[in-house]
Amino acid sequence: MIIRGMLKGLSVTLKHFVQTYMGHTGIRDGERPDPTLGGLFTVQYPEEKLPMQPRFRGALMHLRDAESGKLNCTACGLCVRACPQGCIEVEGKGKGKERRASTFTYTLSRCIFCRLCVEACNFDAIEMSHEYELATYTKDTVWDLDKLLALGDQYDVHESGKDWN
Amino acid sequence: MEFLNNLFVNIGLWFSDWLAGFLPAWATELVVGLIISIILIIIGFVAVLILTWGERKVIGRVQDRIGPNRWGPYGIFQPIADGIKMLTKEDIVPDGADYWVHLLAPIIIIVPALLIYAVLPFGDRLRGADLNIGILYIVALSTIGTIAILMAGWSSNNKYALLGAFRAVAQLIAYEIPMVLSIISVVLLTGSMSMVKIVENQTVPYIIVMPITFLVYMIAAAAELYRAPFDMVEADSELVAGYFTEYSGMKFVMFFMAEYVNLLAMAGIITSMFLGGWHFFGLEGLFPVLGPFIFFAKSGVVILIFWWIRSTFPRIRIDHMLGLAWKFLVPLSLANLMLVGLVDKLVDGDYLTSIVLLAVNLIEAAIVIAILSLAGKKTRSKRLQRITSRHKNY
Repeated sequence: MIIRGMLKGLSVTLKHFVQTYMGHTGIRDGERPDPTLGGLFTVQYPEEKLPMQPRFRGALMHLRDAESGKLNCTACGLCVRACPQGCIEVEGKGKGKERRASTFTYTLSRCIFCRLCVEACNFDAIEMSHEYELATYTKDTVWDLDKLLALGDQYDVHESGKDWN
Repeated sequence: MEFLNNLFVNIGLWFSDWLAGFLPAWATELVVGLIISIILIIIGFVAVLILTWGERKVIGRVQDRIGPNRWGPYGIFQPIADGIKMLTKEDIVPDGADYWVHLLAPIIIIVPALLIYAVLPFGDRLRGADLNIGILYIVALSTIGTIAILMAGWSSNNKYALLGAFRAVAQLIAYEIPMVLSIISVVLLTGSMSMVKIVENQTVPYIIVMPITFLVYMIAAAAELYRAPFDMVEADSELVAGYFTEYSGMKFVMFFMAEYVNLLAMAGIITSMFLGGWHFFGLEGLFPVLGPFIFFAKSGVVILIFWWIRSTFPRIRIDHMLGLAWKFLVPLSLANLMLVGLVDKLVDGDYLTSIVLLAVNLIEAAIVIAILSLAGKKTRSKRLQRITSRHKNY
């Protein structure tokens, strides 16, 4: 009947109105909303950021060895060959097992976030981070080894290829 | 304490006494009248600020969103940001527009909207003017807005604007009749057209006494305000924006403001006619200063109901909308008017009339629902027949 249908609709909107005060009511601390709970689902983006999915591919980062704290990259150049865009340049220093990368440049503006460099790496030296706010005001998008290492330290990851959070 | 008890009235009396000390009588009246009208206009414009923010907040909440929340706590400065944005916009008059009509339309739409505030009784002795034909004055004013809409649509030299204006006139003519008929029911029961008398004579709020009249008036009011589900005039999804498609900048704001000034005015009329105005279980007798607050709280509830309805129902088709007015609301309000007149004549005594009227209204409602469900069944069976016969041919 006409009137019952109208009342049903009104009750649905009222329920949703009340739920915004009962269910999710505002900023959640970096957790994905629980859809069964109802309420506000809007993510307050600049204040609140959702955690990325484990395999999200953001900017590149360098990893350190968990015990020694030395960087894993041996400057073998596999990532340079794997990169379809040619956005990685690497130079090494030292002989044998002591060989480590001395410079490593990563041109962010050319990177297509394909993760082929990480697939190619044999030493767990690089991984994609969850960094996605990469817009800049200048064309200064060439990242050096220090910056990549700092990013890796920030995420505290020591093995690539794992589904890490 | 005596002074505080009816603060606003006493301030007014004190001020006019002070003016009368050094001004002639006519000048005192003029100055007081000007100040009152300025206050009323300010009430209208402040209402626009609050209502635009509130509507976006409430409808956002209904849709599981937050609504404006960028500037100020809970986004309360959003209307100011909107206003600044609109002020800085270019004022465009389209090619081939009728310049003077295009210019006048936004002014003509907002003036009658503000004029309605003159007769609204905000509290005990707290009003712009106590016209003895207050409600007639309101009915007369609310039709002027339609002329402005037609002017805006016609002068814009735009098909969509003109279509919106046509719809507006069709809608207003259709819904004016049930609206006026339900006003007459109220006038019949109070025996006065003055808004103040209507409020004072309501021993029991008329929403309890005459729920059918109230519902008819609410539906007609939603249509008069061009609010969803009766927003055929704007119909953003069909007509761009309806009659104000070709307006920009401050002229657009005028139309926008008129909408919200009208919303509060209509809520005020409903409050005065059906919800007992500034009365609230004798509280207004103890503290007359609370009168206007009670009035605005009740108006706020009415506005919330309008928002609730707007966020629930989809826009109805124009033939259905006019059908609802002519085939349903007009006969219903006519029958209701007749019953109210009969009961008012036959039954004596304040509370007895109320009780009998309520009973009559409930019986009326039951009959209406029975007729509606019968008609619904008939149409459904007809449609079913049509569909089955069509399938036989295949």
